[in-house]
Amino acid sequence: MSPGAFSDRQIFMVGLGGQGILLLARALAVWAATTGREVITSETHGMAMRGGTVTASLKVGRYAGPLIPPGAADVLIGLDEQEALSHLPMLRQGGVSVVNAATDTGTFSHVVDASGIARSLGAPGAANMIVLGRAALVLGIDRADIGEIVERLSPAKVVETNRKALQAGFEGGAR
Amino acid sequence: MAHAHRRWGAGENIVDKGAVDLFMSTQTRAPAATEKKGDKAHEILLGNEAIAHGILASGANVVASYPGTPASEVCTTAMRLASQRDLPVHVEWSINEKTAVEVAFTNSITGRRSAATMKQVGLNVASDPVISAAYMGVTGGLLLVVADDPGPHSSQTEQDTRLFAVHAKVPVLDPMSPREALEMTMQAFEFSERYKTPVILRPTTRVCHARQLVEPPDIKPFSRRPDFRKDPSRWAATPGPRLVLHRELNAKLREIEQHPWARPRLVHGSGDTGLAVVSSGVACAYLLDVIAELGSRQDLSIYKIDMPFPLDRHALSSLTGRHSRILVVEETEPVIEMQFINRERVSGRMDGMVPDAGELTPDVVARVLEEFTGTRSLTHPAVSAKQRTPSLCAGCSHRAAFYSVKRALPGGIYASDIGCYTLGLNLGGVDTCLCMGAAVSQAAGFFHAFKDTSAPPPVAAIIGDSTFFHAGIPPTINALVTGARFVLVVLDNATTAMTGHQPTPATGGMTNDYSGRMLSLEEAIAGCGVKTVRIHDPYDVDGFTKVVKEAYTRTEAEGVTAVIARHPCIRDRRALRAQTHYAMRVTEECTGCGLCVREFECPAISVADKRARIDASLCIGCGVCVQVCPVEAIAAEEES
Repeated sequence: MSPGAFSDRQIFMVGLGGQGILLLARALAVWAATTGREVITSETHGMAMRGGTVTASLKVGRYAGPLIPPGAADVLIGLDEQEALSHLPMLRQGGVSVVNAATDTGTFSHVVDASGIARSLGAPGAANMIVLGRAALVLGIDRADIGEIVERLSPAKVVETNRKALQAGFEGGAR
Repeated sequence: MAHAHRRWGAGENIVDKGAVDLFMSTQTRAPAATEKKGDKAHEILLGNEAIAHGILASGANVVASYPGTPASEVCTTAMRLASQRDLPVHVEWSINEKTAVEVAFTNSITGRRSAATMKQVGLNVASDPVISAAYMGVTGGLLLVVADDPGPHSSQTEQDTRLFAVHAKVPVLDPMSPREALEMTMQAFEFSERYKTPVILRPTTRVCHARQLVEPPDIKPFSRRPDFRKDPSRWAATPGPRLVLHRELNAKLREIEQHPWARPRLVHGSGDTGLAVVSSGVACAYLLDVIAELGSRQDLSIYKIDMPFPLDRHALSSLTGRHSRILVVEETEPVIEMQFINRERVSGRMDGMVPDAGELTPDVVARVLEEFTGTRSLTHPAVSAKQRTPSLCAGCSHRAAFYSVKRALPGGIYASDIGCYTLGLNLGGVDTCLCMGAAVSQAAGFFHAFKDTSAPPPVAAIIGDSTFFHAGIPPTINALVTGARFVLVVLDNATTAMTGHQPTPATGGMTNDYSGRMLSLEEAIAGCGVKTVRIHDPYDVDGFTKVVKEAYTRTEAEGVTAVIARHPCIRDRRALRAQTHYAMRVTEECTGCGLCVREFECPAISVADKRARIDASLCIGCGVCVQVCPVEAIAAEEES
């Protein structure tokens, strides 16, 4: 393992309560841990989960604290376009953003219409998995590996839906 | 926003649209039930989950708690592990924190190990037994897990449990990560037994709700026979023997000051530098991250404090002798800082170098360090992201109840309480929110304040089911026997929703073995002496409004009357499936008056271009808004 290949990374995630950001964050954390590196995350619980701004952080590598300072995130993943926009300063210069938005305005480096795709799949609640699929594609994460993790972490009733949504994210993103 | 566009606008600083080489995709992976690290199985555990593992692996036989963010998952996890692994452990959701501590403490004076877990304001409720228990001491280990919420993110106050620990004379541990929280939990029980004292573990939100790779310890069934040695001069001490116990407690604390946890631990630098930082908890973790980002400044020494109270004051004094200036970075009150006997060379919260309120986030820590060292170091952009305010869920029956109470008691004062339903303030249904149970006593207070005025406003106490059981019963009795007159509206959604759907006394399932009976809410209210107790589904807006009105008229004769707003939480999937679903539509009749948004505040409804719109992705089809529209412009069609 060359140190360069395993440099420390910080991923900031944002959305609204109820969109399923915690499952997305957890799946990425579990995946990162399988690469043999240290992982520390931060989640939002409590009142904000009722439709308020919900953020999550994932830090991979030699970090002690769970929060990402503004301007230091390597990657920003947004489940809500407005929230992603207002948290854009969390990204470092040259950082990468993967955002759920209906149209690509050029503000973000990667855009996927996850809400639209989720509706067409008949699973409006699965937009989080579509964004995860797209983010995994961007981050070079193996489709089968992240798929297995999502299946393991999903509640039994939504395993199938989440699997489909994740794949749709990979495909919808492969433009 | 403009700033964001300038820096990150189209075409600037955006990498290729292709795959990003962030996580090389060539390494071997072993996705399994647990992640492998070395030879041992590690799991990515939430801080609260790690603490629960530690409690059970240490052989605690009793775990008691009342839910509260950010502490809830400790007991949830303990309960899940206890039932999954069929452990000889009693895990209970107690009716409140005071009861939880009393149950746990008592198990610990029979030589067995126990834990009581709660959020910081829960410790206020439990303060009476905690302070007394410190005098008495324990024979079996007693760990109190009290989670603080600097920010605050989900609490009424930013209070610092470490300061409470000083007041209660109880040793307090301040972990900086889930992994350290687990280690401290495991060691705390032996520490508690060695010194025969309760111990507080004080994680903060960022430890409770952080996930980290940890190696969960083995949980072996562990059962000590209870051994209660009667000793009235200790366990039933009257004021005389209490003085003896107080002296004994002081002697224990002096002995504890000799423990390695009581001394600052050098975690960075040589210890021979001019500048030094003393820190504890997650603030210490941020400090280490900031130092690493700065390229590991060697002109600075960093000391970590594991146990902010009691501290070895001589060790602190020797720091002031060794370093020319010392910065103390801790959340949230200057607990370590105040224990420096000579603070001439010490900076922190007391001289204003560290902000005196709010969370110490990494950027705040970086700014403070910059000021202390006098060097420009890191520039973090200011993120002034507007936080979207939370709202009652679309379809939540609490919204319908608040709407009806406002209609039934126009011009009234609505005293409310702690829970999801505090969000009723968004639709003008909540005028006060003080602390658990205060809806009822504040309603009484408002009644007495206005009773001699010419036109006293109608008063309602609006409180959730779990909150009523927690702290609403004594004030209901109090109001009744002291002549207050108001309507008590209990929002009964059959769960403790805000904190993650814990049970209530009326739902059953308060323990891991489902022992214990259930107590119906109406029986409990009637048992307080309330004569009129009506139950109605708030989804029926007109009907519910009428019931509240009638109940209010009866207060003239009966003092306190009660209405139970009964409808299950729609986050309960089974309950949601069981109710009728409607396809909602806004018709041409809509005048765009906005009453549905202003007075009802359903997140699925918005008004634009003089027309209401229902967002189908948010709407759950409850149909309640049909009853709200003044021009009948909302149509509902029953779905099969």
